[in-house]
Amino acid sequence: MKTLTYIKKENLNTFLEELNKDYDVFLPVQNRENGTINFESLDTVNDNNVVNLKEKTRKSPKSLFFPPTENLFEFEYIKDIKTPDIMEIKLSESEEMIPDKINSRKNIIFGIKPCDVMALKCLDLVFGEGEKKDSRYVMKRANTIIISIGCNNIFPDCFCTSVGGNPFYFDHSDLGLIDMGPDLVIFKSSEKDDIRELLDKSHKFFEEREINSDEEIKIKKIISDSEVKCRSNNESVNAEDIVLDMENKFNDEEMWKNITRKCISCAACTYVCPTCVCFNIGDEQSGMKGERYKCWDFCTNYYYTLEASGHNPRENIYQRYRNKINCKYNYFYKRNKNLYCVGCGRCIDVCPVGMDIREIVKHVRSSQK
Amino acid sequence: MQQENSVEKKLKEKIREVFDGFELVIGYSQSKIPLKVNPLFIKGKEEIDGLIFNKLCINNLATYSYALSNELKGKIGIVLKPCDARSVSQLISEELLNKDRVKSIVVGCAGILDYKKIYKEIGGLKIISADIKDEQIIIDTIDESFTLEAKNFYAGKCYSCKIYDNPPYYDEFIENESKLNIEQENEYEDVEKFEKLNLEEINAFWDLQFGKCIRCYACRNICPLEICRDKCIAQLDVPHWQSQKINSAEGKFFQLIRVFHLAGRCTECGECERVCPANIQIMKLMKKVNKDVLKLFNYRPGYNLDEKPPLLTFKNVEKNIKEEELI
Amino acid sequence: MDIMKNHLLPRIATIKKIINETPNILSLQVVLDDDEAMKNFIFEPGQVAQISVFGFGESTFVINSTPSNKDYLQFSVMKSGVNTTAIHNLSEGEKVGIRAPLGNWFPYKNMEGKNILFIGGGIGMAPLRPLIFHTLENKEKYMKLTFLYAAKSPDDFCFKYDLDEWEKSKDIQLVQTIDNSCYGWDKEVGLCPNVLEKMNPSPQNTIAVLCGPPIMIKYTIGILKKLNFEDENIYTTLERRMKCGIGKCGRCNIGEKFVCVDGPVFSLKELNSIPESFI
Repeated sequence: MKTLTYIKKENLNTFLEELNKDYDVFLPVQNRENGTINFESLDTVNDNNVVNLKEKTRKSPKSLFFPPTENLFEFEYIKDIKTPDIMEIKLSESEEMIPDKINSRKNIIFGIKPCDVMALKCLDLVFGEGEKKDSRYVMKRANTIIISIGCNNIFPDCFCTSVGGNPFYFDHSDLGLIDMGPDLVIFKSSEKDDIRELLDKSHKFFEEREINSDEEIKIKKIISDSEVKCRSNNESVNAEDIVLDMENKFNDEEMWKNITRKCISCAACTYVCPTCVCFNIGDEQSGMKGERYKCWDFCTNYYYTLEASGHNPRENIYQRYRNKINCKYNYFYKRNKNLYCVGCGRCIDVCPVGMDIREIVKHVRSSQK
Repeated sequence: MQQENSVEKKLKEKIREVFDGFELVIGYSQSKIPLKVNPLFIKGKEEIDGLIFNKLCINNLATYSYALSNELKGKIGIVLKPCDARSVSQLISEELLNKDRVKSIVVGCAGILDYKKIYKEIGGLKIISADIKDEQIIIDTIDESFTLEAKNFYAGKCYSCKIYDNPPYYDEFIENESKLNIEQENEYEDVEKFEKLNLEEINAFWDLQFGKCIRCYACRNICPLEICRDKCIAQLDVPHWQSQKINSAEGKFFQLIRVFHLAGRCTECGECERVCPANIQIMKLMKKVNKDVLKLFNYRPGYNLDEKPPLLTFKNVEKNIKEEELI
Repeated sequence: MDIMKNHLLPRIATIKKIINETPNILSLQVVLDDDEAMKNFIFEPGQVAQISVFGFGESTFVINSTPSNKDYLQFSVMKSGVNTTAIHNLSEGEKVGIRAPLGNWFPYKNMEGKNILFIGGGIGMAPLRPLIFHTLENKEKYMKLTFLYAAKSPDDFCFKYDLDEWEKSKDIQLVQTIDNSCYGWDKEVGLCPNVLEKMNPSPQNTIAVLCGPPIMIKYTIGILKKLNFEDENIYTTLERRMKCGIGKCGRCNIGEKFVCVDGPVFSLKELNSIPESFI
């Protein structure tokens, strides 16, 4: 007989608050006034802001690892009246770079969905690989425990199965939970030391149960129902095929112009996407002091590739949108053998004019040149 | 696919009738996502059957008018609601659109449902399917179903609308047998209530709102009157008006740039607030400025094609501004 | 520990000398403030650096001093935007931020034993300069060296001090051409592709390396193909707006390649297989 660990839902709040004493817990919090759900700290939960683990968040959890604005360093011009011809520059890195500060308390992301975890795997390939890793990102990732909850419900804009994902994909999570109704079962648990430590600390909230075959069937049914539902709503996309199609149809300008006519080239889709991480670097100065910062940027914007000479390689909306789709379904695959879209559907949900990336991909695949 | 209603039939007939003179016609079509519609760009007669017109058609299609009239050479037809036609009229009176190139096909309106109000009512739960029958909205989410009275969920602008079957501007008008039938409100009532708060409360409110702004520029890009979207001073290095950092102060500054850029021009279509991914209450600011413009210049944008917008003209002495009182 | 390194933090360098090449191009000779780092600085011909004036921004420039020179690093800057204008306003003794070396370099090892045809236009000579110096310093490894340099007018030639040397040198054949004839000019006249066609270089055992404005590259490649040069024997450098310079911010992509990591040096064979290369 198999033994599984359960957390009763009635104990969930206390469990999380207990965790919040030793860790910084982030989870999906819904604002009662306007209904939007985003990842916030457990400290913000009150009468107006409640925990909602069933629905998808509006913004992805990428801002916990890749903040919208980050200070790179501060600079100061130093001049001495006695030697007016000489100017010194002093650079100082911000406190955030100090490893002790970052590693002082571990973070927990609770209730993150499998599609978002797949996205973190993609971000690891961007920022955590190669000679020039992004050290702050790597430190934050190493310092965060990921507790994922699988998707019992599939929404009209979900399509993770199309791009090689799964509503119960727990491979890159530290703990994978399944909602069984009255309780959550810990379906997958990593063997890492910090996870063992967490489980040991919280054992009073857990219940070990020997499960019978009925229970096992129930769990298997929840998993397969979701997968079947997602697959029946969306056709599968074979990665190698789509890369080839994107390549072949790249120069069909008429087709791209027609399918991107309604796009208004804003950043709504890019900023809510869990894998879009293009950024901008800028300087701000006031008097002799200033800072260099890094902030989110969006490739659909006119200024993205505008050069100082005035020449812009991607002057039109269709060129920029074409580059964005190719980045997700072509270029990233060529560099990393991984598609860059995880099928979360946030772009479809938030688009002001109803652009649907599934329709775009379908159109590219089926268009005759 | 819902049954074709009678105004859809009339609209399709009219467009088939006049289609040969147009290079492109823009209208609405069905969307897979519950409670939403898609813009449809019709280049060939066979696509006209995809047109719809119902209570979900909230998009203001005038947003495509300027860019398309520059890109294409021939005539463009746009299906508009009477409130949207104000945007086209304002663009024409500012000489940004050519009256002969952009033709407004205005359809009488029976009111538009605001899907954001419905989402809020059902607690932000994700909608699996939605249906509108008579005056009721039937919604299915994961756990429960809801039946809502449509009359409580119209867009804010509908509750003070006086032009739903009497558009101020049109080239073709399609009459709608259904008429808007809801209790009317005073158009600037919410602004007047807000003005009564004290400065601390007002500042706290806007700090909270703009703390959510992620500078996605959806508000600017969807606005039909902000034709400056590819030349915006909020994104330029030279002159360096604004930092690209994403925080509350920068969000506020950007929105204030917009408010002043649209003073005396905003036709209150509400699209900016609809498209904001962070649900910021932008319309309060726009309506406040419009209220001031109405008081100072007795001008409503987009109503009278012959009237020159007051902030684009110079008069030595303004009729409604007593300069002595201002000092 | 390398994990802690902030790769977007520049080193500080002092401007030792400013040379006015043409009315809107100047060259900076900079020395890193950290003496050890300057002594141990290694780079290959073709690599670039991100130079910033703190408070204005960063821009990309090729390191055009010769790699064997350990005294200073040289960059040539054309005045066009915010950062380049700020650089033009600096004087000797002032400081800039520098992140270098970035990007890939000319595969000079593959060019050994072959003839090399260098073709440059205007400031396009800057990426070629370190490569030309490298081949001249190791002359025994290479065969015939030719340099076709085109500019709008006699004033628009950069590095005139190098050109004077190379005109007299037996190791390299220098051909200069300007767009339209002008008083006092006794050398070639004509657009670069036309002069190249007139020169009729043989593609046999020859590598062509060309750098210049996009339109010149487009037509010159046309002539090289007409003369039967193979795709893998033609190299060029591409430019795109760059920010991070380390392949993370996504801005400088051309197809699946990043100009800051997989470039700026590309062979024509590579360019033909990626979209958007010639815009």
